[in-house]
Amino acid sequence: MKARASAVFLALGVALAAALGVQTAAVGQRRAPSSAPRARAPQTTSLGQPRSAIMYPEERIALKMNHSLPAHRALPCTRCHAQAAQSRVASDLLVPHEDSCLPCHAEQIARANPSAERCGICHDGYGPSNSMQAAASSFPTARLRFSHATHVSQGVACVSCHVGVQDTTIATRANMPTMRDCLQCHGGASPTAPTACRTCHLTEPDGVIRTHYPEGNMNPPTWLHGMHHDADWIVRHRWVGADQGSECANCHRESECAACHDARIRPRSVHPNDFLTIHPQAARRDEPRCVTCHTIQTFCAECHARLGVSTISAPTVRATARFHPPEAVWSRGPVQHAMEARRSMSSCVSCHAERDCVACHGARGIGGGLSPHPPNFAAQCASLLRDNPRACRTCHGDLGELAARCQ
Amino acid sequence: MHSRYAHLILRVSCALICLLALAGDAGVARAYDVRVESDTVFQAYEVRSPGTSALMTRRRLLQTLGLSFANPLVDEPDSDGRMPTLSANVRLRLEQDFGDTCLLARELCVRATNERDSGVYQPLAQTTLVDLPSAYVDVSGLPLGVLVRAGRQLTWDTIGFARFDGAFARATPFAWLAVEGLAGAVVRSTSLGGTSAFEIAGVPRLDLGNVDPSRVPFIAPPSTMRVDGGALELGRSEWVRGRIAFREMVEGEGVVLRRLGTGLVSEPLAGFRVQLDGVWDLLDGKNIAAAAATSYDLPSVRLLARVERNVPRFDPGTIWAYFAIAPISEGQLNITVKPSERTEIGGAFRARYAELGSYGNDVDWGGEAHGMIRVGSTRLSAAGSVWGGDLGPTSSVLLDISHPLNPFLSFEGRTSLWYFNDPLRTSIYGVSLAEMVGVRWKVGAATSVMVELDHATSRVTGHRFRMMMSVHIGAWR
Repeated sequence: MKARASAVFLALGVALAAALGVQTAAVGQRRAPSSAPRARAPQTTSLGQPRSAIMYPEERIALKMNHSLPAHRALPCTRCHAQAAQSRVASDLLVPHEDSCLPCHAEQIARANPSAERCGICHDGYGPSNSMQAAASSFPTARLRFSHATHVSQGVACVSCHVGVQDTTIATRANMPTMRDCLQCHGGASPTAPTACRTCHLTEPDGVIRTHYPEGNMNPPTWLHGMHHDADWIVRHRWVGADQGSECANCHRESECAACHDARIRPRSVHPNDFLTIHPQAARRDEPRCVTCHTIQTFCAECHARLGVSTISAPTVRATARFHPPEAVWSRGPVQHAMEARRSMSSCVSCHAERDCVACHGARGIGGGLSPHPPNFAAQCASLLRDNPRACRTCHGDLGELAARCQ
Repeated sequence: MHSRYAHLILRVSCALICLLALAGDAGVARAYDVRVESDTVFQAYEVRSPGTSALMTRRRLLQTLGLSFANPLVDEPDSDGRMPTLSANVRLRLEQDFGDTCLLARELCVRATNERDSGVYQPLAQTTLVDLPSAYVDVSGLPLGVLVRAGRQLTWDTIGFARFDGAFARATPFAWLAVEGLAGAVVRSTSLGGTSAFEIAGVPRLDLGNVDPSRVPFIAPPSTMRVDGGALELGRSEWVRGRIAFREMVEGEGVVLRRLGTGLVSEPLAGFRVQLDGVWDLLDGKNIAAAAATSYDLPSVRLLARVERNVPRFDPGTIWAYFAIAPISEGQLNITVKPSERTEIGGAFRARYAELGSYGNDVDWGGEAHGMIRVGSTRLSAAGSVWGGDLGPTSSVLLDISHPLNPFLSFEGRTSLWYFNDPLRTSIYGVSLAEMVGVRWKVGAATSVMVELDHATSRVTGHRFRMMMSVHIGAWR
């Protein structure tokens, strides 16, 4: 059996290595040198705020347009960006066409006599080294829903969102607003600015925000409701989810919760590597957390039963060796099992059936002196009996007598 | 009976999914979108328990098939970005266990499904499990921010998770006000196409069919449990946002759960957050969970402090609910620093305190640290932890690497070293060394494949192997 397992693993390893080699070679052949100009956009604003490469994919700008020149500063924005005020979708390309430069730069634009000195005023890198060709620029569409027209109609000034653009030598995605900028109005401060995530974010057809892009997966910023998905998120997510679950549902479907919480596949991020060996200690320590994914009486008990460590195991598989410490320690003397039950009842339930406890603790069993109830239980027993008598009957049998005692 | 229904569900759902998929492919003009999602996971592994002669050699196939459908009811979103949309979601899951539980010392394997042989029959270990984790229709984006959902679904909040068959509605007329309500029947292992996931800790329930109940007295018969509840959210988190929720579950003989959950969140400064949560069991009026946390997120540093207290609870229809159980308190201090976009380091100090009454108290403490660095396109991370105290020492070191070989294929590796010493079972101590290698292959925009090989070795359980392969397909069309 071991030899067969080794052969299977070896075969898989070889197949894996072959697949890796084939893929690497294939992609190596497909790669071609890029002649596109290098992106020049800084990644951050003067305030040091990073721009998301997902929201604003990297652009390639082979143009020079110094917004800070006094002549340019004196112009209204719409003088060059004429279509901006009417634009209703983010995919509109609002970079000015050459025509808008013509009134002032007619001499440079005249194509009869191109030169690096004249054309190079606007076209970065234009010259003999580029075969006197203007390099192409690309301005990918922002992954957002955005209507300039709506904002203009609400009286929002261009520089309210494109902060500092009038001082830049070239406008880049660093002059685009961050989510924090948008939330100054869309966070609830303005009665007319909608606050729903899908107001700005692209969504899948069912309304869930689209989060996967070629550049990576979207991740909430660190300041947003404590939701930034970092290394510690696996521990923290329940705190946010408990109080603000509707925020989670903006990006995640129910099936993503169930993928882990249904406890069908062990996620490595939760239980790394050989967690199985130390799980009894972890179960006692992190008891409240285990039950968010594992139903004790089925998930835990099923495996313990199969392995023979449980009292509900099939008779032929039941362990003959004692799982607990010696009886003298466990059940007599210091009564260690009582302390352990108080410490981690879930561990008990993961192997034992009710009858195992009832045998000693049941009123009809050994009885006197072995009550497992907490102090002052008698004061509440009447209402507990009314709410659900099943458990009372399991130990005490005759409920009439118990009801008379539990007034 | 249960199995017959499960197979009926399987056949009907498969037919439905195929019909809808065909309808989506019919080529006629349509206003709706369909998402097909499929996850296929095959695992093979061995589990051996110390102190027994049983060896489980499990080979499990888990197949999840999901179909979502979305149909906008209007052409354009309203001024709030809301767009009334009708959508439906069905997920069907099949789990097949091909493995055996065998006794090492004897040539005997337990045949879990052999109900006629009382010596080997293990009621909870079905080899085939078919269930319907979700099946609902909803309308979202209605005026007043109304969402209405009907069918099998999941809900969660401070009170916990609940999977139920029923109706859920939520209205958010203003950003500072939300109201929700739910009603239905809890999904249990004995429900049609149901499993025990999210059931309250208690006793296992099964439809035993022809099995004599006296042979398996630890199994309870099927019972319908209804659930209802509601919640109110008020305020804005820049000031204080509060949530109060109520949930009740009742079955034939009585109340199983009646709880009140509360939560307060305040974020007066960007990145500064304070959260207070509490859950009360209204059956005995006790507070069963409380937590207070504060965190401060700066652009490259996050500080977090949290204290919480929990009292484990059980189904009050079982005797487990009436034992004295220790409340567990835990505190945590955490710092995470991101010196750059390519590096992250962090650490936490945690302490745990359990009140064992006349037996004294458990005090345990631990420290955790982690670090991550990206070198080129390679991601390296390391994590370690140390725990000590009354529950025994454990410590661990984990090293992780992931490296994209090309845009489609990435390699992953992990190794770990655990030290453990269980004070309750003196024979269970030692060091476990584990290694994992795997690849992820992004076949296309809609498809990815993952293969992992695991090996672990320790004095207690010897060598253990695990192999996992998964294929994920998900696409809107």
